[in-house]
Amino acid sequence: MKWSEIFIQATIIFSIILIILPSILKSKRLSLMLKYLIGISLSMAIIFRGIQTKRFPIINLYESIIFLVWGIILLSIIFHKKLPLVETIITGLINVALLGAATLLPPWEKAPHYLIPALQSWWLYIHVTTSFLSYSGFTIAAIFAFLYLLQKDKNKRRIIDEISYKLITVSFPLLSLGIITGAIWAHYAWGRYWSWDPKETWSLITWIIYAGYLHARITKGWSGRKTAWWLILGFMATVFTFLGVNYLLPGLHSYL
Amino acid sequence: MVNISTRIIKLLSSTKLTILLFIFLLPLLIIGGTFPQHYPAAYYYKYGLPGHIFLLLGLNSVFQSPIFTILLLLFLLNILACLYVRIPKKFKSSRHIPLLPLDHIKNMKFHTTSTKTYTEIENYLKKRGYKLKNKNRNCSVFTKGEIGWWGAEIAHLGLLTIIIAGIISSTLSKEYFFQLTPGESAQFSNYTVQLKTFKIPLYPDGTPRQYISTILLAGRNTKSFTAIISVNHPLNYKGYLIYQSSYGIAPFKIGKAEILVTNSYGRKTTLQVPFARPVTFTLPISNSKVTIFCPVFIPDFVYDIAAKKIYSRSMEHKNPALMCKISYNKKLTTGWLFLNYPQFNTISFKKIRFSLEAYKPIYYSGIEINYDPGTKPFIIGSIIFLMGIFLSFYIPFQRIWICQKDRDTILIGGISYRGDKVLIKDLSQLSGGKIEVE
Repeated sequence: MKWSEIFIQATIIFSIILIILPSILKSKRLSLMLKYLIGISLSMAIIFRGIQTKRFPIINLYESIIFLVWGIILLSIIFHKKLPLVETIITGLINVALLGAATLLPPWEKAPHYLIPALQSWWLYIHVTTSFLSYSGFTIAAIFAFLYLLQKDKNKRRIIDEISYKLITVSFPLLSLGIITGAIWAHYAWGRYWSWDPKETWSLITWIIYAGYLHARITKGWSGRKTAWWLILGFMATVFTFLGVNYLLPGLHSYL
Repeated sequence: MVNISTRIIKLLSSTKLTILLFIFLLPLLIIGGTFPQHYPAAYYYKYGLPGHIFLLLGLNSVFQSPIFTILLLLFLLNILACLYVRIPKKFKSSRHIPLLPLDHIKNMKFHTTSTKTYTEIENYLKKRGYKLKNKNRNCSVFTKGEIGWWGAEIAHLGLLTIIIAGIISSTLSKEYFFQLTPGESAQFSNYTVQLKTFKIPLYPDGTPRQYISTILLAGRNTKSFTAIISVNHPLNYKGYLIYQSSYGIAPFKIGKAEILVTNSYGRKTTLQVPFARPVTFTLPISNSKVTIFCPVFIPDFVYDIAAKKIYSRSMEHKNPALMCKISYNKKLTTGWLFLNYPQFNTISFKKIRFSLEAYKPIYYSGIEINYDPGTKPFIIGSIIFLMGIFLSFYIPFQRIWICQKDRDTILIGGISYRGDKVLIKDLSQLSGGKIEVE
């Protein structure tokens, strides 16, 4: 077993502990410590994968899922103070589900492929990291939107609503940066900055949905249930942009 | 007249129009991003009636359709009208911030009182980066982070530039695409591009590491020069970007052909024959001379009996055939040698047989040349847009009013856009920690 895989197994174990212990002991401090441990363990997995592949490990489904979870943990640490304790259960569950799925992927999806000529560019790092960090943010925002819909306590609902909005103010600029750096990269690699490729079009659809959310919230003062549903819709578009486009539609973006 | 133009601007700048445009734009984007675009009509007909309807509605090229262009133009006008309405209003409001009466300040979301002197408060606010905007004998108003207040307008200005860039690109850009084998050249605008060499270095597992073309560029009145292009490393030449776009096996050209010569005793020898160049060999099996010239190669040979025509069924090397002119023993024969079906070879001599044993395919380099005057505006628009959203989300904007309430107390009130932290901190510092939040 490779070192990166050992660290992923360790992260899954830490995430299981994150689901159980902090909620039983009602300790936010313990949950933060566990989040740091998960962050370090995942970073180690990414570093070892990078050493193994001799490149930045974010070019196939296996590697991108690991990076997505890394982004979720990073945002969860950044917003830790504001988050209710129930978040640790959800974050832990997402980690276990996503990393478990990554581990169970067929060998060809996990194989440490060489970097194809089209991906040999510095733009890869900026484009992919910003895009995936935005996906991480949209994922947590959608979970909070879902929590909002389940929550009865008015005060807690207000806090959850506020956190979701804050997450979008981080993720939306990241998605914009991801789309723009992708376009500039396409200009250098494919010859034109926009080709209406399915991946480009779907990322634009996702962007429009979140831009709509921000306008509804800022200019129309919408909040609560309406914007919570909006965030869930945005997340569905994000998932389709991330996975659906690659597995269901043909296009230039044949890698992730 | 004034009334009509005001109404048009009001309509164009309305949020209702934005929502309406999105309602129409999103389904078009979903169709264009999900269903195959620009395929031949036969592809859509395969799906029966839905395919026919899809074609009839022009959904096979959504992004080039007039309806999509009209919606984009309306969206452009929508942003333009919004900026036209909002920018002067904001300018006016930022230049003339009114001084507010005590009651008004008391009703603000954040307000407090301070026992510090008026000058102390003024100095503190100035030290914290606040700017004095208006003042009279008893009251003043300060602002901080005003640039953040303009973030939304800056972002929309960026978006406007991006859409204009898109219109410039779709109307003025020029594209050329050439499949060149080494030695071949092509013309674009007033320039010529010639492929000198094309290399495909490999990874240890045999997969391509890079596609590298050495090209020679020449113009009518410019000095020619050699450059190297590879994937992700295009060349900017006189406003044209020259890309390594693709590669493939040249359909109608080959490298050396291996032609097997067999005499009537079964003795064999293989000749390395270059493509489209006559060469004379001395055959070791018969000690006589043979001249071979193979000028035509068909990758997927088909002979149409009715039309008496030879053509290639596809560009793939499925049924390779080489046409050769062979001169042997003062007899010249022209015919075809087939790689897969040597029994159908049409070249024959009395005591000697020729057959195509193998050949070396040659790769073409797919070179794309683009002239796109919309690229720079797109990059500028993108930078403006990103700056705008950064300012809008991360630079909080505050306004603080201070007013002498009585001899010993000063009333302070403030408003904040996007993030109250800075305002709360400043008001707490001035009041010693007691602030009222409505």
